[in-house]
Amino acid sequence: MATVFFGPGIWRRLGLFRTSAEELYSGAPDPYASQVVTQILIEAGVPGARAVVIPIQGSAGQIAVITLDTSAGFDGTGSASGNEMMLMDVLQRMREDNRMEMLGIERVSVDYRDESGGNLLAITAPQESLEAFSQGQLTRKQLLHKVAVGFPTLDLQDTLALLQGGS
Amino acid sequence: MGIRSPLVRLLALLLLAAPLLSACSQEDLEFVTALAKEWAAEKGLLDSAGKPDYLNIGLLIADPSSDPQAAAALQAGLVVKGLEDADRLAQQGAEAGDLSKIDAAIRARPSDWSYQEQKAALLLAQGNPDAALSALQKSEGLVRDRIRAGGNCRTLARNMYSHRLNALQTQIGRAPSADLTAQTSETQAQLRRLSAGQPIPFCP
Repeated sequence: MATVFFGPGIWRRLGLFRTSAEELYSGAPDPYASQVVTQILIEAGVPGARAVVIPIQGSAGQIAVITLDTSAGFDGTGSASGNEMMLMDVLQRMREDNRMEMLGIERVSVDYRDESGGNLLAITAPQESLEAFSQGQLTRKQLLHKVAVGFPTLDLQDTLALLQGGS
Repeated sequence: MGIRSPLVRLLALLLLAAPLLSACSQEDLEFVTALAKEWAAEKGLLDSAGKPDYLNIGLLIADPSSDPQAAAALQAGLVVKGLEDADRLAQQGAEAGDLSKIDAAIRARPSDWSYQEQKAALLLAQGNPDAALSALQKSEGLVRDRIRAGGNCRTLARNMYSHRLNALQTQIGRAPSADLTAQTSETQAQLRRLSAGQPIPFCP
């Protein structure tokens, strides 16, 4: 039953969206913008973090893909409150540099990789919403509404196992 | 610290908790769980009694966003992984003077002009200026296609010239030549104009 329910959606997500992503982000990454965002992460003290900024096909904007890689040393800050402060620092610096350096970033995606470097979890939000949150113009609840979360490589079997484990 | 309930594990993972769990205190875990629950409620993953709604959780996993831009962005990490692999291949080709590796990177990401730039620089270093010019024209053609589709000319030009400069500098490091030096100077001049906000021929 669950296969009928979730199967098509999963195949659509894995097939259609991946194709769409490959097409949208098929251009060469922006070396300058990538360096600026990576530097922000380094200065904020995020180990195992790097950024690639890629132009979005059919748009004047770019996506900043931030990789937090456990296999490269990412382990958070050790505390939730520390992570919150780090996040605000990064968001504020990105807001400033996006304007001052004309980076053209209009969306941010955070990609978590596990100990083996596999894509574990992805979180994305429009840059506009992140900037508004960092300026106090958007509440956490309003920001969460704009946030999308996904498991890029979770397959049907994993999903079923997760659901069976939870029921 | 064990995360027993699959729902809590899922929600904790969703709200950036995965990297924290190894070093978390009870207070941190409670904070993250509260944040995760707030997000889950916002997305309809909890029913009116605050219990997990597994149907909605499954649907979210299957189809995380109705916004195509957001849905594609969730796959961006996989694109970056492919890009890293192709970059490695092209870099090996550029450093070893092996065109076949750069061509393999081009086949993997045919719309990525950075590999055409690497090919052009290598061909120039190998004394084949006509083939180098052809690769440069392909690179510029890919960028112009982007501009016609709505891309920002100056941002894309900065991107293209930055890749050109990196590619030329790699080849100068291998085997300096007058041709490479001349093209490097010209590329640097374009980047300086872009940085100073001055007009460039590529973006009339």
